[in-house]
Amino acid sequence: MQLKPRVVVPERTCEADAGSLPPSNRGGGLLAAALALPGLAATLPVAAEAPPAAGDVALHFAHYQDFQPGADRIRVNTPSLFVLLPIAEQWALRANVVVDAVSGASPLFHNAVSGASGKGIGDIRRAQDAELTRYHDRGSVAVGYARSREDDYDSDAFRVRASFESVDHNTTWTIGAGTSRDTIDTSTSNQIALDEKRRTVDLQAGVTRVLTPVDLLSATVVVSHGTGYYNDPYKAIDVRPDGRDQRSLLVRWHHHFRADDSTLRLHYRWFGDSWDVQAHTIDAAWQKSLGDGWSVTPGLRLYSQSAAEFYFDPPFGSGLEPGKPYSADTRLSAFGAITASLAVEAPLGYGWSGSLRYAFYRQESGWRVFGDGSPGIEPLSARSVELGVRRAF
Amino acid sequence: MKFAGIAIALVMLAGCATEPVKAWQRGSLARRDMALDRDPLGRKYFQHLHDSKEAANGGEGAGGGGCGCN
Repeated sequence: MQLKPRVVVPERTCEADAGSLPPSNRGGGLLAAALALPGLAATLPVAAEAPPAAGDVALHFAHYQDFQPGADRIRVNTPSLFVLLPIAEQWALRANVVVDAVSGASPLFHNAVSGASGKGIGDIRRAQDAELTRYHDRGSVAVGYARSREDDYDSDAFRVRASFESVDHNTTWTIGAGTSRDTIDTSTSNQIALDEKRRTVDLQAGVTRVLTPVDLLSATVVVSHGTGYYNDPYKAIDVRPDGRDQRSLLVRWHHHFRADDSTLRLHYRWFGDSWDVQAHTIDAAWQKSLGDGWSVTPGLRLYSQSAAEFYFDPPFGSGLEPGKPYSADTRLSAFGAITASLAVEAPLGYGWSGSLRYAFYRQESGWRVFGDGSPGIEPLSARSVELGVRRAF
Repeated sequence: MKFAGIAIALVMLAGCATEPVKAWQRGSLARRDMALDRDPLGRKYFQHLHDSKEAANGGEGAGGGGCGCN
């Protein structure tokens, strides 16, 4: 769902662009000049409205572990593959495959971990996503399909998106729509959910604007309407409404500092839904180039949410009324969370580049902003290590 | 209505008139680190990680991708 302005650089821009950079950054100037060459600029992600002149392949492996005081919970190993394939000048195919190998234990309610009662989790999720894009003079149309398969959860999603550029290529408008069909079936385990369905429709509108030669601003609004089965069949008692409407606003601002060859990426997301959850997310990353293709990127993400109207604090069962929604899933409680990350990118030779990212996540009820957090909830922590390689071809 | 008002205001703000950026001024904008989707796999992984632990999700448009909700 990323749409950016086309980078249109006439031949005379090479000299002008390199010359606009400070002497200390002539290496970057050469890069900028190289980017200004027709075709090469079009291979970069920022030129999403122009057909890519080269393909791209990326491999990624991630290891995730979360834990609470005195208890390890979930471990996930995730290999994934992404391919971008230009086709016949005006088309492009983007595809990715992901495998999640999950093991460990998740809570039955509040902080009660199921593994403590001998009920562990072992599951594999396989997901594929493909998107075909047709490019026009000042816009593009894309159709996509995503599928995901687990023992107890199948999902199929379709989407279509169109984008249009202004005459000066400084503004891109985007509209999109999608639908997903999910099936939840735990007949091979606890038999709580038997061929249950969920249907979701999404609508999206956005605008991306080049503000200055070093500033990019993007705003995206998404509304979603869902009906069907929303309970968590693995929780001890979990009865949720049979519908969920969601709204979100995502604002992204990217700024490049020419003086020290670094880039700040600042994102804010507001989220609200018909379950009375409201959440704010601020995500910041600062990528500092170290020269010769090396860079380091510290990142910080701050998150806060209110509780769903049918979430009830401990003790378990308090507030439960027959026939009314009830959940003790702490993901629906009121809390705040912080993610701190550090990434390093490096050239690997033969056109390949590599990346390594470490992230630490911690969730505490007392960290909620704009109100109190839910009482009686243990903090949740997680750590994640990602290793990636990519190459243009 | 409040959400719609804020959304419309921000969309208008993003599209408001500024000094037009000329084609030969866009070298910095073409950098990979300035792209909105510079790392599709890393972004999807990070989003999935957070979506599975928090009530809020998405924000970038229509998707789909299963539960992964343990």
